[in-house]
Amino acid sequence: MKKWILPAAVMILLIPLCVRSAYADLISIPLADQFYESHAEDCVYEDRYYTVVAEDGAIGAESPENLREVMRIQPGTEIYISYVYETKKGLRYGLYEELFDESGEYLPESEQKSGWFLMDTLFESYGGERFAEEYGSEIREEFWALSQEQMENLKGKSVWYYAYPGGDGIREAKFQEKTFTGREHSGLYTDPYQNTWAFMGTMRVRAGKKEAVWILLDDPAKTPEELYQKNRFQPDTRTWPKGIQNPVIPSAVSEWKIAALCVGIPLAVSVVGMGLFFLYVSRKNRKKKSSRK
Amino acid sequence: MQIDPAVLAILKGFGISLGLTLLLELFVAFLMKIRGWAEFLIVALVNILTNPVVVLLVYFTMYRFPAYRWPVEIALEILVIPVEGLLYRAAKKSGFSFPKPFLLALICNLSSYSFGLVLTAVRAAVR
Repeated sequence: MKKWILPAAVMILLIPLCVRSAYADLISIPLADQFYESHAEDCVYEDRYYTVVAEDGAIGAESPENLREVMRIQPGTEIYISYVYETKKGLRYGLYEELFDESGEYLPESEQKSGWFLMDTLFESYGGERFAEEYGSEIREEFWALSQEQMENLKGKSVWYYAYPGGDGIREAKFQEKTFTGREHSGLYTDPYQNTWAFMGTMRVRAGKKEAVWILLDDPAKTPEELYQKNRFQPDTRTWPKGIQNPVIPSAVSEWKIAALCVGIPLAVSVVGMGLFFLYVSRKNRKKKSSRK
Repeated sequence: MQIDPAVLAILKGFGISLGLTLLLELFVAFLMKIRGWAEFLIVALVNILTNPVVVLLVYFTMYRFPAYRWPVEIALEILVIPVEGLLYRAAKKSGFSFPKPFLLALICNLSSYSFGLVLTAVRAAVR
């Protein structure tokens, strides 16, 4: 018997490595996105932030093949699109996963959700990469550091991080000396209003991806509101689309039908199991009684 | 007929859950010296009977009352032990070889539940 135990135990222990979506007994692990899991090879890595431009909000569908609305995001909101899938009809859908709460902490798995957004309802956000492409020649490759006086003044205050000079503040974080003294930083840019911006490097400062991060070197604690009160440098000169509306989606499969199938099929399996169990047991019972006679 | 992907995804979840539970509980039954195809068939039928109902209730709780997921899950897991124990005992009375039906139900369910927790942890670590 012992010969069986080791190979069988190894086989069972290897199951987690083979099953991407893990389920066992009562534990069912919600999938980040089931459509992505089954179509990963057809999805193209996008890794960019987009802004919702649809006037009625961007609609997150369950999948590009099932357009049931699972979330709706307000116009003007920036979302991180990780993958894009193109349907046979040529419609492009981007995957957005809501995995973090407002403070940047992981949501419990039961509260995480994802949706596929029609890319026509989104517009690529202006970011550090695009800024580097357009203004790279004006970025001075000089080392910079905060002065001792600046560090003293910043103690106990918050520093504002930007994706590019002139952008919206993407994160406000408590000043930590080690962030600025741990390594050498280079890259300076002076905007037309004589604000000096310093490149911090590529960091993950918000949910999504690692991205270019800048600070206002003149006064890192200055809030975007204070900074842009008089003049604001706008490197993004693109014309943003207007009047975008969501396409009319043909009515999806009735939720009642889905619920009925999802409840009915497992219950039917269970009833069949029960029927077979009692049939089998009673047959054995009859055999036992007849053998006694 | 094209099956709706949402239904397909949920049913896939049920299928994987039932499949893994069957595999694990049959293995545990084997370790507990249960022998004979008839007894293995009983173990499989008992799980086919209880697993879909329990997973269905957990899914329902997860989507409708997510805050109560864990208490409900644990309560169901505890409840399923005497239910399965009674079924094994009924089978034993009919002549199947289940020397300790409630112990079998207890160990099988504890193993599969613990295995589920390990899978959850592995998946979280991989992420």
